[in-house]
Amino acid sequence: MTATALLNALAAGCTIFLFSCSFFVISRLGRRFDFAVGSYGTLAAYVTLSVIEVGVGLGFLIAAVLVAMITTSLQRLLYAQLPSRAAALVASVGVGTVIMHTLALIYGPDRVSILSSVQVGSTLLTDGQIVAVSGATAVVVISLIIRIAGYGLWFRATAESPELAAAYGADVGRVSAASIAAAGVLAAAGGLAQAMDLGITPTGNARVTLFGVAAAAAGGVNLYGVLAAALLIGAVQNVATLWLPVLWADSAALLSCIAVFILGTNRERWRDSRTVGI
Amino acid sequence: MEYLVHLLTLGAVLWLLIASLDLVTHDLGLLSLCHGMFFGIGAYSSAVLSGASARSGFLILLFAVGSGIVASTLVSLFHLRLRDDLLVLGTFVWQTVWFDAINNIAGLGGSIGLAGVPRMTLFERPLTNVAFLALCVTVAFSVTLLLRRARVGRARLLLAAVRNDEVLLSSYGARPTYVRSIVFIAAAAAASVAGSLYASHVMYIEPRTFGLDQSIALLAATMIGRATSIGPALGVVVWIALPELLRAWGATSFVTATWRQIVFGASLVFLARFMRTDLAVGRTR
Repeated sequence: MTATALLNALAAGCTIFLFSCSFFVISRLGRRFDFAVGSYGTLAAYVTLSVIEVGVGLGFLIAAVLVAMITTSLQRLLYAQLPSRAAALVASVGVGTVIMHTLALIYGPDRVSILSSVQVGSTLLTDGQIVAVSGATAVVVISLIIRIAGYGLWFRATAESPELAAAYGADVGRVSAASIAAAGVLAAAGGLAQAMDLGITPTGNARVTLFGVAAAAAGGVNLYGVLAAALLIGAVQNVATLWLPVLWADSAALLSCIAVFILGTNRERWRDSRTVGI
Repeated sequence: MEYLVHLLTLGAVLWLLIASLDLVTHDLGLLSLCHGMFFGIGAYSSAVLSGASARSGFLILLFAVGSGIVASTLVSLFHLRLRDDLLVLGTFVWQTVWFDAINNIAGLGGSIGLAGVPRMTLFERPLTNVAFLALCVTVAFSVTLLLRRARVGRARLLLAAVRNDEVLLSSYGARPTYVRSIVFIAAAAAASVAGSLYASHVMYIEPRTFGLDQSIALLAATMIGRATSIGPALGVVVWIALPELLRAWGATSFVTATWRQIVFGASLVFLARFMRTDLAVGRTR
């Protein structure tokens, strides 16, 4: 029972982390808060579901490309034209609302789930375990990219000071566009992971967005802080079921979210900087 | 005729709700995503108290105001020192926690909600629909007038200073966070009044009416009103007329509610282009 709860906690934490990473990247490179990350994930899950005949893998690839195109297009055509960060935030709330309710109109309000399992040797990996493995793999890959690869250096330089990065030869526009596209793919992965784990509804992702945003805000100094916060929220959400009724598990996670959020939002740091982690 | 009275009553309640959020969004320059929570707190506190005491008088309205003040004081203690995006996150957290609570607490009806909320009474007699409409219009008008007092004379200057230059205001010895909290609490109290009237009018409340979608729609309705300089009236008209039009074409309640959210979401995207840095849209002062 405890091992299952821990595995579920890891899976939930990794899913939240994927959304957090998406939010984190957009807030650093786009210099804005994007409340629509949850809806990008939902869109990806529903697109995958629509083309499930071609297989989950290929379906996800199609969905990820579509979401990446949408996030980069929105950045270029909408967010880059807005007068302030506050305007970008309001617009992102609007974008998320439109995407989620359009999906509700097309697919209906009911929960859908992409059920699958994989036989590895003599072990059958369940949906939750697949989510955990894919999430953890994504964590390692992202960390390596950010820490070691040359792109990570350009990413950090562009996030810290676009002007200085450009002076040192970085193609700031391309780095930003690629990063925003990557953020879309991360959100898409989060959406798919969620659909494979507990299922997904068109309008039910506001909560996951909240978890992801809280983790990104609390651990915002670096990616490992974000990971720790996401795992903490996932752990509380699932381990709490050992002592509390299932319905209250999310509430416990939300309260942990608040604690993490209040502890993590060092007021002076936020006041001085205007962007997550800078 | 009865249906028209129903729509007009809803309009008066919405007017009150949008006018109260307008004070926070436009005059304080704050973006709050938990106004639906204060609306819900007013509705649920009235419903619970009127159910417990088996009567629904004006004391219940006062109780709703008190509940709204307590809740908004808590929010302002934790989050009103934050700015910009972080304040939005903070209010987003409160809204989600609230929605979770009313969905899970059995005493509040859980996800099914509370039915049989009694109609407000006057001298022990339940108000008729027309009398209740008159009450709602009177309350909405009075509260709007009260809120408008914040927009004249010294109060107007103080609000403008809080919105535009807190540092300068602090250097004159004023406390911006204090001013912001007072106005925020006043707006929340007005939203709770709206919630109490709403519960007494429809006699059935459920969590979805007070969720995040509602807060987002309220924000959009407020911004639509401001952008056109018409004020809450246009937000109210769009809110009520759009579902009615769709219903006339045979759409189900799910479809009408979904389309309303799409229209409000799209209007947020559109209006963001015209926002100034302080969240106000349109008119400059």
